[in-house]
Amino acid sequence: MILDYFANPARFLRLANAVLPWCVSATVILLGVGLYMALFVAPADYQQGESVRIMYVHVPAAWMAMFVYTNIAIASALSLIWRHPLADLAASASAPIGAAFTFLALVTGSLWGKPMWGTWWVWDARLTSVLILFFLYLGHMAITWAFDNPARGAKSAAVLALVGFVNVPIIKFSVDWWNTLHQPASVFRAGGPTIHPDMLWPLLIMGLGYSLFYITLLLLRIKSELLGARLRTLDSLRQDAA
Amino acid sequence: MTRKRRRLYMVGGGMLILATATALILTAFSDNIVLFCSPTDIQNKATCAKADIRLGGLVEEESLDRGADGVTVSFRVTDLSNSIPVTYKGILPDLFREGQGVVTEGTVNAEGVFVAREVLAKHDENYIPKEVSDALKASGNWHEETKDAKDY
Amino acid sequence: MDAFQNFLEMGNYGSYVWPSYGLSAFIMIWLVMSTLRRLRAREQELARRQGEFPSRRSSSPDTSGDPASS
Repeated sequence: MILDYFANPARFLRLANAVLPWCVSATVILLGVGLYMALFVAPADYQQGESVRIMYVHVPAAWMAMFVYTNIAIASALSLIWRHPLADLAASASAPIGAAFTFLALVTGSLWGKPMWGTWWVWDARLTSVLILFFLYLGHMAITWAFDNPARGAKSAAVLALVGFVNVPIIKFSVDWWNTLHQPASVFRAGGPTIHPDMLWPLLIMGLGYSLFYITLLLLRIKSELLGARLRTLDSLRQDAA
Repeated sequence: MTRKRRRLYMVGGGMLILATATALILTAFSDNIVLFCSPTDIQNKATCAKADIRLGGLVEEESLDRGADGVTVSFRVTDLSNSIPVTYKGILPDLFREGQGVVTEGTVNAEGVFVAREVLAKHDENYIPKEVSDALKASGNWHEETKDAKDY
Repeated sequence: MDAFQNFLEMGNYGSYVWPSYGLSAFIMIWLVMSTLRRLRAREQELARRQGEFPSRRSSSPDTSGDPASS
C-alpha cells in the first residue's frame, strides 16, 4: 500500500520538503487570482447584489470545514484499524485548521444572513449541524491535549472523530431533509450547478485555493509534529543518561 | 479473525449503530424544534394551531399591503394550494418580495390570521449576474417561476 | 475616487462584505504564522541539540539523510 511506504517519518519528510514549494506557490496563485476575481471581476447577483461576494469566502470555508473533518475521520480509521503511525499526527494537525474554517463559515454566513435573510442566526438544520461540527472540532482538540500520553489522547480523539462523522452527511443533506431557511445546494447537486459561470469560476478557484492552503498547512504541521517527536526522544534519552 | 479485522468490524459496527440512533433521534426531534407548517398544514393539522410555529411558503403575488401607520404590513403566504393571511409589525428584510420565499415565526390567532413576530426572506439556490437578468427582463425572456441559472 | 467609494460601499453591503473578507484573511494568516513559528522553533532547537547523542539506536529515524528544510 502506498500509505505503508510513507509510514516512515524520514521518507515522509523528504516527500513533504519536495512538495511544499509547489503547494505554497499553487496556494498563493490560486488565492490571489480567486480574490481578484471575487472582488473585481465577478458580477453582482440579480437578487443579492454585491453581498453575493461574501459567497467567495463563506462557501470555500464551509467546504473546507467538511473536507477537513472527513480527512480527520479517514485518519482516525487508519489509526484505529490499521495503526498507521502518521495517521494520528495528520488528525491532530488538521483539527485546528478545520475548527478555524468552521468558525469562518459560521461568522461569514452570519454576516451574509443578516442583510439577505434578515437575521444573524436561525436554528435550522443546516446552521445547527454546522455549529455541532464546530463543537466536534473543539472536542477533538481538547481530548488530544487532555492526555499527557499523546498516544492515548490520539486514540480517544479518533473515536470521537469517527462517532461525529455521521454529522457530515447530515450537514450536506440538511437542506433537503428538513425545512431550512438556508437554501438548497447550488454546486454539488444532481443536475449540475445553478450558479452562472461568471460566479462559479471564481468560487471554484477560491475553493481550490482554500484546499491547497489546507494541504500546505497540514504538511507543515505534520513535519512540525515529527520534529517535536524527535525532540521528545532526545529529552527522554537525556533523562536516561542523567 | 485477525485483530485488525476485529478492529475494523468494531469501528464499522459502532458507526452503524450510531448512525441508526442518530436517525431515530433526529426523526423524533424534527417536529419538536419549532414546528414548521405550510399554509396547507395550518388548515389540516391541529398541531399547527399551537403557539409559536414557523410558517413557510411564498409571498402571494399582489398581496402585500403596507399599513397606514408605516410599520404594520399584511400579506398572504401561499404554498400554491392554500394561502393564509399574515400580519407583521416591523421592517421587512431586503429580499422580501412578492412571489419569493418567506419563513416567519408566530401564531395563528382566533380569526385565522397568522400574527408574525419575525419575518425572514428565503432565497433560492440560483445565482445569476444582474446584467444577465436585466437583459433578459428587457427582452421579455425572464421567467421568474422557472428561472434556472444553468440556462443562462 | 467615486469608483473607489462604490467599491468600499459594496452596494450598501460593505459593512457585511469587508468584515467577512477581513476576518477570513486574519484567521488564515494567523494559522500560517502560528504554524511557522512552532516549526521554526523546533527546527532551531533540533539544530542546537544535533550533537547530543551521536551514538543513537538504529531504530530511531536517521536525520543525516534529510535535505535542508524548505
